[in-house]
Amino acid sequence: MANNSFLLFQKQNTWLEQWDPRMKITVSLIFAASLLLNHNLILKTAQIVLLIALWWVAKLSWRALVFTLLSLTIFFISTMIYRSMLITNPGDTLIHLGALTYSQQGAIDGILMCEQIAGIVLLLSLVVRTTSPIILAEGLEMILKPFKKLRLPVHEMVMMFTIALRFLPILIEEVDKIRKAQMARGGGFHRKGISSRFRGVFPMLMPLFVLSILRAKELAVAMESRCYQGDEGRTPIRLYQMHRRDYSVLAFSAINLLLVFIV
Amino acid sequence: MLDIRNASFSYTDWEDEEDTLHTSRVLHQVTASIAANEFVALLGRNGSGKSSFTRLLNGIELPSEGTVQVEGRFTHDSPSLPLIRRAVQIVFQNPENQQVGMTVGEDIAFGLSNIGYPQQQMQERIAWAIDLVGLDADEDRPVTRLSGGEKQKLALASVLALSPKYLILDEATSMLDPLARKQFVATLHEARKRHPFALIYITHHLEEVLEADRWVLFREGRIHLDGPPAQFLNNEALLAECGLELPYYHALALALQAKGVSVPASLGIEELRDLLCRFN
Repeated sequence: MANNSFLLFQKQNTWLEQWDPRMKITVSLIFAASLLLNHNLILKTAQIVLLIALWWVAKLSWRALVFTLLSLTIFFISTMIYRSMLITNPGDTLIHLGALTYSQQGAIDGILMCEQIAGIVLLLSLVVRTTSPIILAEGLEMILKPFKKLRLPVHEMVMMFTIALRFLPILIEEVDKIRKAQMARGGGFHRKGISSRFRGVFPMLMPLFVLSILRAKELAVAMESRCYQGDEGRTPIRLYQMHRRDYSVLAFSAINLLLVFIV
Repeated sequence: MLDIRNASFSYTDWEDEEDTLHTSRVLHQVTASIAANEFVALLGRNGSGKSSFTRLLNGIELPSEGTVQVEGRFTHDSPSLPLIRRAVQIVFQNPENQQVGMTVGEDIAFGLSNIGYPQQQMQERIAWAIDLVGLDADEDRPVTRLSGGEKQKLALASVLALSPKYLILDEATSMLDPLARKQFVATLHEARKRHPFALIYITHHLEEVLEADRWVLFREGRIHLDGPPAQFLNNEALLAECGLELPYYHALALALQAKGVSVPASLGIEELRDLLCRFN
């Protein structure tokens, strides 16, 4: 069985887990906006350091952090090549390093872009790993509540999101089983070479799709038999209350956004 | 009381070769009733109609003919469905496909939330349900970290939290190893003692339902035989025809009977052991 537990929320009773989900979602959106709008290398680096510090506060695995960042390597490399070597503007200082020639401003832009990608992914990762999907969904539902008046199926959308997250590790496990079953019958997934590995993916898609549909059908029956009928008559599983801590974090993120405009 | 009168049920499916819609009837004019606190075992081959029958009981499916009544309410009466579903709960074969929450507590809370259970009492009820099934896990434990047996106990806790009057187990032990199966059955009977409910138990393992009040044998969408277990235990040939195997000690008792030894077929494992020791 594949161990996918590091991809998921694991309860650790840390400070970050105690934040109100509505506030956590709002702060994440503000922080993401400040990352996107920030063009100052020092400030953006400080934001990344802050995210890594929060990772440490959340007691999340360093292995997971490295795994998350390494999975972005291809984006980092392509961004750096594109920004610093392929795009040069008139007046740019060109630096020659052996056979390589790159623009100094382009390199700084490239680093900023890489920090932006890493920052957004780390931020999302932090939110997902420090919040139970159900709490996250409840927070999202509370924030989007006004849209219910416009007949937007907010509850249904949030429930779908929660279930998708819940079934992610099961689907990963299922992929592993199908892959091994096909390898045992001479399937191409294990062969060397990117093209044969790539071709080996396609025969896995159909059984995975069929299994997902069957699981979804069974889950729907199970949910219905446990009296689920949309959000009609449901009581919230938890009651949420904003604390001084939540307002402080919200204020801090607002200051962070303000700094981006000032610096 | 669960009352099923002349109920038939059909599935509509695509016929691959002819590319047309095809209706296959899985239940034919079934009539049965199940009383409060009764323990009924539903037996029969795969596809004999047992699972379809149970899906009619809580209104997940509606009969194409006939009626199903739960505590005086008809399943085809839509406004009654929430009350019917609360009274008749199902534990399915695969626990992973019925868990909605990420943690033990969240999963139990899902059903409670659906029925509008007061939020202030929810934590207390979750703890009660965990204790009732003897689940060795706190409410914050992620469901991915539970063993197969624990996952099925959680499924049981999640439905028992709703205080059902009728509990259906649809081959709920088939994915468990023998030890986990024994533990699950023991837990179930313990929970029934503390919180009585009628039990409708689908299984292929007869040793799990020897204590049932009635066995109902399904064959080709019809109830073939309905009676106390003793009525079936002497009829090994019929059980074999329906893909069922007697527990080895009952089969041994029948073999001894065939050799002229006076042994009742309903003898328990310990009584049979004592008898054999006496022969020695």
